[in-house]
Amino acid sequence: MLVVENLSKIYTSGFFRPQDFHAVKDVSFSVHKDEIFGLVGESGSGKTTIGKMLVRLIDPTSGKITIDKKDITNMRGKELREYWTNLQMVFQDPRSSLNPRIKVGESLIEGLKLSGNIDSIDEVTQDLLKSVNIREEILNRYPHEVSGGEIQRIVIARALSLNPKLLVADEPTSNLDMSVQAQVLRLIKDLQRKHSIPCILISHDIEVVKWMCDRIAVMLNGRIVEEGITNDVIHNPQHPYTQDLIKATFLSDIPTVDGEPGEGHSLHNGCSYAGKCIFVKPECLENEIQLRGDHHKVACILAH
Amino acid sequence: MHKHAFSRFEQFFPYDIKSLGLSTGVVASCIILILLLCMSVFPGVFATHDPNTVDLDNRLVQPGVEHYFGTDHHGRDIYSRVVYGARTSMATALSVVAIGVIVGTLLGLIAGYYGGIIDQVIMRIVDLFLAFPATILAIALVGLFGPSLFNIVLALSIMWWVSYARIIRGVVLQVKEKDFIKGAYLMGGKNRYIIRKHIIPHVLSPIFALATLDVGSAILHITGLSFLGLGAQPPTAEWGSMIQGSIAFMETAPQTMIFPGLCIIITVISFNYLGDWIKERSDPVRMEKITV
Amino acid sequence: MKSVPIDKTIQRSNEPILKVKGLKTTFITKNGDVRAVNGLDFNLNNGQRMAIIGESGCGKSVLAQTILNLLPNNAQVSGEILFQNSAILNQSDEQMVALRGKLIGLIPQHLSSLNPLMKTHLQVEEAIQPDGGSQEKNDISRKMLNLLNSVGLRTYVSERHPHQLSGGMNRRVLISMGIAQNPSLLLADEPTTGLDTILRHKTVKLLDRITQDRSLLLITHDINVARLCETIAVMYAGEIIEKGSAEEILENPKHPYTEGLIASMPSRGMSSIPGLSPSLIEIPSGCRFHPRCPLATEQCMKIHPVLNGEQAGVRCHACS
Repeated sequence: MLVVENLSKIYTSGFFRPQDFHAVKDVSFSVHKDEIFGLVGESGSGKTTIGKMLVRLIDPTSGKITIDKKDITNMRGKELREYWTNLQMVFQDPRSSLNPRIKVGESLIEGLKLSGNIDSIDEVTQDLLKSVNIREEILNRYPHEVSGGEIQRIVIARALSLNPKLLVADEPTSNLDMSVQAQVLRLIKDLQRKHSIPCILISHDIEVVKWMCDRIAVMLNGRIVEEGITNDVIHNPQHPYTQDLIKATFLSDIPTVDGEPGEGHSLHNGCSYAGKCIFVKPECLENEIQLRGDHHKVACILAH
Repeated sequence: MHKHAFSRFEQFFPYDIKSLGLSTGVVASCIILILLLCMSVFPGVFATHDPNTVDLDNRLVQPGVEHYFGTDHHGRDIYSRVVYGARTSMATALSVVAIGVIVGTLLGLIAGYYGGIIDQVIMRIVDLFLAFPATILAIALVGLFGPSLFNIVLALSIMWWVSYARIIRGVVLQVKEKDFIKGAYLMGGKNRYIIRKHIIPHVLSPIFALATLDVGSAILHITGLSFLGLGAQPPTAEWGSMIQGSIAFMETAPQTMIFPGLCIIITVISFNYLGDWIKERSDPVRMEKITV
Repeated sequence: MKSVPIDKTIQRSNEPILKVKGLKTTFITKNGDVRAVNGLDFNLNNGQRMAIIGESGCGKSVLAQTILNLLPNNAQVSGEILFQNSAILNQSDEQMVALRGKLIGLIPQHLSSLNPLMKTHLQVEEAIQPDGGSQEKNDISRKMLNLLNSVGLRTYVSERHPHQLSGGMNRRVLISMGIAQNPSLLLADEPTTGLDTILRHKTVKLLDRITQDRSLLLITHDINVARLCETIAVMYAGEIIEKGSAEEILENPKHPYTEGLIASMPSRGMSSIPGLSPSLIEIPSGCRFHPRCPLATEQCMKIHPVLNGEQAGVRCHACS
């Protein structure tokens, strides 16, 4: 089980007048080992940063990440290197997720080889291939000779070959064709159920998340604005941003105030959506609104 | 996208030979360089005379059947001296570049991969060296330790690694950000494994291209310094010092300078040609077009 | 999921603005001839909006480049393209320059089409008057601001460089440049690539608004975006395999490929099509979809089916 508490990431930029940029702000959630948790949001909402912090490719600024009651937030050096095999990630761009100069087959068993697990490697390779439905001949090719969908399946297979304790899939199908998307997503879902490991699916596509996830969190400007069981959130969205996001997905009219997401946000300390929300009240601009609720949490003053 | 299985040959050489874009210039450069390499390894096979035998009866002989390129003011066979000179010039130039590549790549890899303080220290040293003109340092060193080819190689090598370190660091910084490197961390790869398996293969082709281009420039530096009398000492056959020795006879016996001069020009052009070609090929975007 | 009824009340005449007949675009490469567009026929009526949908590598983007004669040198084109009844295929560069922008506007796929060194207003002004014509400078800036406002951008945007604007804003700048000279036909090549849900939605709405009084050829892989158009043509391996009204294609697809494509949408069950899109170098014999088709028979392997019907039709032995 994965537990995330008050996770934040601040980037500081500028030499003379350093400015803080809160990529992720005070995010908390937990994911059980038998569920897929979806992080939904637009580009720049901080969802990929969270994903990379969870697998410790980015160091969190503050907060705490625990997996099976083990605190992994401050692991460094050798300890982290040895723990890393427990944290697996499927990247967005299949074109850069495998080393272009190494054959697909070698990449597939890289983790097993590195862990010294070389006795039964042929058998394990066969099992892996079967589990992701890939023909053996592909192993002898270089990544650029293999389709994007096949690469993603290979990446999933090699991630699961190490029996990880967490799987993060960062937009695993956004660079794939629609007809291939389903294969990859089904595979993630099936294997997650089979191995029963907590899985985080990062996506901007509500439809994908709706189909895949047990619970979802909607992100805006580095914060979670709504979290709950997928069906609750999608069929009964409470936060105006979630409502607009869902309407936009199905291309129905959204009565938003014109402007870009986050535009004008730096002008006040309140809700990030205040600038575009049609229900905006003066209180929205004053203080940050906390995520509240039991199962279906919302960060909006209207919801309570 | 290819659907056919790969033959054994293609596994080692996954590019279509026709698509390599071999031009006449590249082929000619290759032939010249192979010839030069053979000359420097087995000069005895190519030379017709001993390069250092003084024959005062046959001084400044015009090119002919007996002496292909004629003789110099000591009656030494210029052709044979050019052949032996190839050995000196190639050996020194290649050692300068090799030392530069090894030291520069190592430091560039370390600086780019580990970053932080180590990177800062290495890059400040690089800046220090960049601020110092190579030729002046060579002259100063030779002034200190006396003129010799060894000292020239030493002086040039000290300066040479700097540009490699900078370029390799840049390439490493780029490759390091790729998802497959992050994937390799998650696979449990140790730093040394990741550098060896995932980073070095990506820096090899730019290194190779740069090194090839640089051999030509190293030859120019060495012959230049030898021409100034700082490098190869008489009677060692070396192209630069051969030209220097010929200055007095330039008008009466131009063969004494034309042939070593031509050799320098042809060698440098060949290396540049080949280097440019390799550079073009090692561009990953172009490579993708060629191989896909 | 229900689509929003889009107002289609404006007069659509039956006069074709764009006629494409037997169009073939082949790229000669070292690995073989890539038949990107391989026998394409369609008519786009005046004021009509048509979407070409298909997956990557089906030749849909090459079609846009062929129409505007923007192909690289190794491309060979045959067939016929008539724009307002005059042939525009293989015309000289000068004639194409007179056509591009003024009569046929293009919304390119990549944001890199914007010059990173030029402020937005310069780029849009250049689109309004590309050849240093005779318009007053003040007129042009006024038009430029009107254009930016019409695509929902505020005035300050004109003074910004592309990197200072978000992807969605740059996309709108490109759209404004596409309609700068009020062309009667707009070609939009994947106008929603790289946009997230809300921006995609806004872009579709904007496209809908600016094409109320002009024809649109929309090239996209996103079926939800294609809904904007009245007609949809589905491309596979360089040819149209099914065309018809948007509703008909989306609700009642006939070709097994179209069926599979629609069924692969998450809202329609997310089932995938087995196999891979064919290489455009080695195109399968007979029906190009037969290796992946669940209904394939011997006939499908041998005989290349024809697209039956003018306005709506399907290229399939099993369902025609």
